[in-house]
Amino acid sequence: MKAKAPFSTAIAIGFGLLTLLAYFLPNLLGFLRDLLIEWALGIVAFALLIGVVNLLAVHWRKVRSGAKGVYSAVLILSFAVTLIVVAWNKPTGQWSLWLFDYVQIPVEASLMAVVAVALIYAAARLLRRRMNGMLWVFFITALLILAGSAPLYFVQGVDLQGLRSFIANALAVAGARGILLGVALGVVATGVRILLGADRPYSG
Amino acid sequence: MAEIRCTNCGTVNPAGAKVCKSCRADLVAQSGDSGLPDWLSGLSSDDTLPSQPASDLPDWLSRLGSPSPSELSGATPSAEPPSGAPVPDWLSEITPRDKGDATVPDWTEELGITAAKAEEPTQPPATDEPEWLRRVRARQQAEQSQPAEDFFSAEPPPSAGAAAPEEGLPDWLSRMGQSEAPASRQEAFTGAQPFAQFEPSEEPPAPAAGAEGLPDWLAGLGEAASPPPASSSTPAFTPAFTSDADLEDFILDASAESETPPAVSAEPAELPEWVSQLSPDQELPEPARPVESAAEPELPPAQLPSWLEAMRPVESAAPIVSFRDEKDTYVESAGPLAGLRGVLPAEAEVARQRKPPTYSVKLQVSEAQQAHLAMLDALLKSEGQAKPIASAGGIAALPLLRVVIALALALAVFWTLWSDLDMVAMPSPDKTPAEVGDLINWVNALPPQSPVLVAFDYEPALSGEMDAAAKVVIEDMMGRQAHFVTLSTSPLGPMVAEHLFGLIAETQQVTYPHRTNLGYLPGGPSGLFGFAANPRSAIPLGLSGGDDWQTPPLQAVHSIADFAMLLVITDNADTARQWIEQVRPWLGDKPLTMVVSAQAEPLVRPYYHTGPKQVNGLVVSLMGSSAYEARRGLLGLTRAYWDSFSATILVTLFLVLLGGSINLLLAWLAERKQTGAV
Amino acid sequence: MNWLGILWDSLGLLFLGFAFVLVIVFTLTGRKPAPRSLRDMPVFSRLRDAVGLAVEAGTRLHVSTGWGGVLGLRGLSGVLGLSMLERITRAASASDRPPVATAGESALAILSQDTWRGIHRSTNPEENLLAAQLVGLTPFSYAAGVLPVIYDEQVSATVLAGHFGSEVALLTDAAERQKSLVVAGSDNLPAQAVLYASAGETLIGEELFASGAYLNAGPMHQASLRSQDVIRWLLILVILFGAIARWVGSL
Repeated sequence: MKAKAPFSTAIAIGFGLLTLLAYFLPNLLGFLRDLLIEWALGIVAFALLIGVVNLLAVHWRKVRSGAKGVYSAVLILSFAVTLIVVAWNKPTGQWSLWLFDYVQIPVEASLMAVVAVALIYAAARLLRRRMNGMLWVFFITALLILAGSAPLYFVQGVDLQGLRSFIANALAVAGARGILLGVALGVVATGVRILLGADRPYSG
Repeated sequence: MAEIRCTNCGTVNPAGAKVCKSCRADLVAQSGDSGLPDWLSGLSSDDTLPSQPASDLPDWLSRLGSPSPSELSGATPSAEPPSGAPVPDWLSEITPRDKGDATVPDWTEELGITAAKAEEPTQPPATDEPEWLRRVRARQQAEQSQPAEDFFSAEPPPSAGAAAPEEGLPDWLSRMGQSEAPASRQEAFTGAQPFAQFEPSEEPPAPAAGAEGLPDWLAGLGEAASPPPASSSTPAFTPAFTSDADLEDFILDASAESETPPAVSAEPAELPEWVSQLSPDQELPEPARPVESAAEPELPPAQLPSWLEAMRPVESAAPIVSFRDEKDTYVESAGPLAGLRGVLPAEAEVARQRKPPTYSVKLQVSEAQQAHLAMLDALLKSEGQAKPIASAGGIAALPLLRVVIALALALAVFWTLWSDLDMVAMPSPDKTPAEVGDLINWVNALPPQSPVLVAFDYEPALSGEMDAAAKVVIEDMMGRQAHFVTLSTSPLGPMVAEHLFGLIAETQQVTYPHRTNLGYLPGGPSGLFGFAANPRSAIPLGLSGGDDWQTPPLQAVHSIADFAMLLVITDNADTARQWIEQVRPWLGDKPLTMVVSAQAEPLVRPYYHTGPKQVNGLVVSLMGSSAYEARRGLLGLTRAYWDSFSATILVTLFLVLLGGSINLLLAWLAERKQTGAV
Repeated sequence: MNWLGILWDSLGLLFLGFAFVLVIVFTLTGRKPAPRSLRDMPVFSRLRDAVGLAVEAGTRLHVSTGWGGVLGLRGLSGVLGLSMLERITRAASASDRPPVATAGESALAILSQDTWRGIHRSTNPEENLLAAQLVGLTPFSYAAGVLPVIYDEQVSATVLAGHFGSEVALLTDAAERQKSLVVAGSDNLPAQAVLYASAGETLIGEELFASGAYLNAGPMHQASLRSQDVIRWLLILVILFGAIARWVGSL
């Protein structure tokens, strides 16, 4: 264990154990759990503000340095305009919704479309790798799921959707559950390490 | 019996010894023939040697002139040698040292060698010398000016002070003058070397006027016999022995060991004819050289057997050539090796005083070092300079394949939307999935104007899919006059909710009034847990900022179980699980329904199949919404997207298969090329 | 007293207590772990090589902890990303260009800055600011904010460890175009599927949670990994027992 930051470590371990016990002993420590969670939510909300300030500071420095500062200037300008509009028109106001409907959603939807292109490109190049059994299973499964996702007007007589349903609800679910169980075990182990002070994301 | 002294090395051997214990010389032969070779022993003046009549002398010897017997035999030295050995003439010619003369060693006095005056011709010994030698001496005395033609005749001229042989000289001294015709001059010097030292720093003594053609040592002997000039302080001969006492002892011992002095034949030996024919003026003939005579038949070379030929040591047979490095011009000037060349210097360099070299304090940097310094300096300077980032090229940098994929998808979407051909049929209402049917039933069972909690937990990026899937469900609930209470665990959720309701309002041309937006619920699962435990406490104020809990019908809602239904619209399976795990236990018998994205279906569907169901109804993406619309007879966004959805899936399948095949072929070709190269 | 009810309510607590005991016991007994006790995972070897090459070549390393935050199940994958950030930053501390960290959530960004500051002990606020950045507050805005870092910072290797969505395909695509290595792991299943198809090296499932043990973060990491193995086998036995029991009961 690290010997540094003992006070921070003691606080982290203490409050973590209290919250954990409060989940299992709600009658005894329920009030403490609610209190601690409210404190945590307040800290996270304040951290959100700090993060926004950090974001602006980084881009402001980029504007000053001149290295591709145009994009950072657009970001800072957009932030300012959105802040002013939403603060003035409220989040559900007309202009706020206009910004969301005609700026936010199209931009993110376009990024999602690029994700689709990137995934198709990655799937096509998948066979360029040194293929093994698992990669072939992955590739064929992806094709079958795609084929069964929607009725193909030129494909008749083949129950692709039933095949997709079987793969998705039987085979994929089984594998997904196994992975999730392993992830859950990893989460438990990580939580134990944090409560024991071995993993300390806070350097103090 | 007296001890025997070896004439070869001078070692004293016990009496009766036959071989010298030191040099293994034959003592018997030495005592028998007095060490002389056979041919010389006949010419010896020893008593054992028969005297030869003068007529038997070789011509050369007779030509030289036999000394009178009295001259040969007589020896009138000034002092008799203790041993009684005959003293050779040359030795007797050596002038003894006067009392005040330091140049003549003392031992000559003891040997009975008297200093013969230069003016006076010395009388040759009468008794110990061979006859022929006496005659030679006598002739030389008469002909002082005649140069010696060869070394046999190189007797010291009378002017040189030919000393009369001293009586009592040891045998080896007497034998030294008795050689007849040595094969070479070098042989004649045998035995005489101990007394001769070559002084390279000194000019070799000039031969006597009457000694031209005489060997040097003999000429030197003549000069040494004459009294040295007063100015000369160094004798012509440097004694070999370092101390006179050693030589003196050696000579005394040798002379003492001799029992009988060798008798010198009174009769002169017969000189060889050629000797008598020689004249001082006569030039010595060139030494005979082997001349191949054409007339004489050549001796065939020896035919050595092969095995003997092989045994011949080539290296040892090779003549040893003395090598002198001509570049070495250093001549030693000090020490015992003075005058020699090719020796190591006697004095060390350090012993020679010379001015120490001066070294410059300035740093000496060569050109190569300067070049290296410049290179290093350039490297260090380049480290601080930012390297320009190579900008991507123009058209060549475009991701062509990606552009092709995007264009293909866009073409499929826009063409189907623009054509509006309804190529693909909607699902049959009879084949409605069970989860969709259950949701429909729960919606049908909603009481009018009942509060329904709707969670909008999907990202704006997936609004195309989720809006189409959730719109039909919301519109169906609107038909039941449900009061929507929207909530979101995502910061953009409230905006997404407003966006969907605005979309519905655009479709129906009317804004639905029965809805309350509670806004954003922070804290993730903890926030959900807190909201589920006490909704009013978790969100005291709505998005509008007012106390929305006081507006009807929220006035009757004090716990989450007071809502008629919970509808979760999400694209994330984790969010769906959080709602299920945190809120479901608080709902009681109220249904929890979901509209999820296709990517979340595998993880959410098991919750529908549990017993009791944790998810009471489920609509999965466009597939579920199409079935919902078909079952309800409604026309929503799903119908509008259905053809495009099918077309894009077809294009995607085609692109993936085509691209995969091409890449597979390329990979196979590359692998084949690699294995072929190996 | 309803002991069965109490036991049922305390099952979770007992399970956590058992995990605690296992980790402590394995930590105390495994101070000197036997060599080759972990199965070979080439992804971590390539990561170590990439760190070394980046230090030598003077290129940057990029570590991104995702947008899952620090609360809930998503938060622990972000904490794991912070642990990897600390290990990589410490390993590449001698590089001319230190690693850059990006996050899609404020708390993760603050913790990333804290981690970087703890290693470099830098008093330059501007340097701390650029070393760990908050690039976006939503998943796709986060992805949009990470792209310039990959394109402009001469990143030779990108480590994605945290909670991501399907938008991670944008990051892997950008990294591939920049010919940089991508080592990625997420607790989100759709992200794992995307990473499996597009990333160079992928950590599937709990392999992400084993990164601490493979990067020599400490003996307790290896002890927790061994604890996971023990509990995993216990769960397998319980599942099998339950399935067999249900099947027998249905007969």
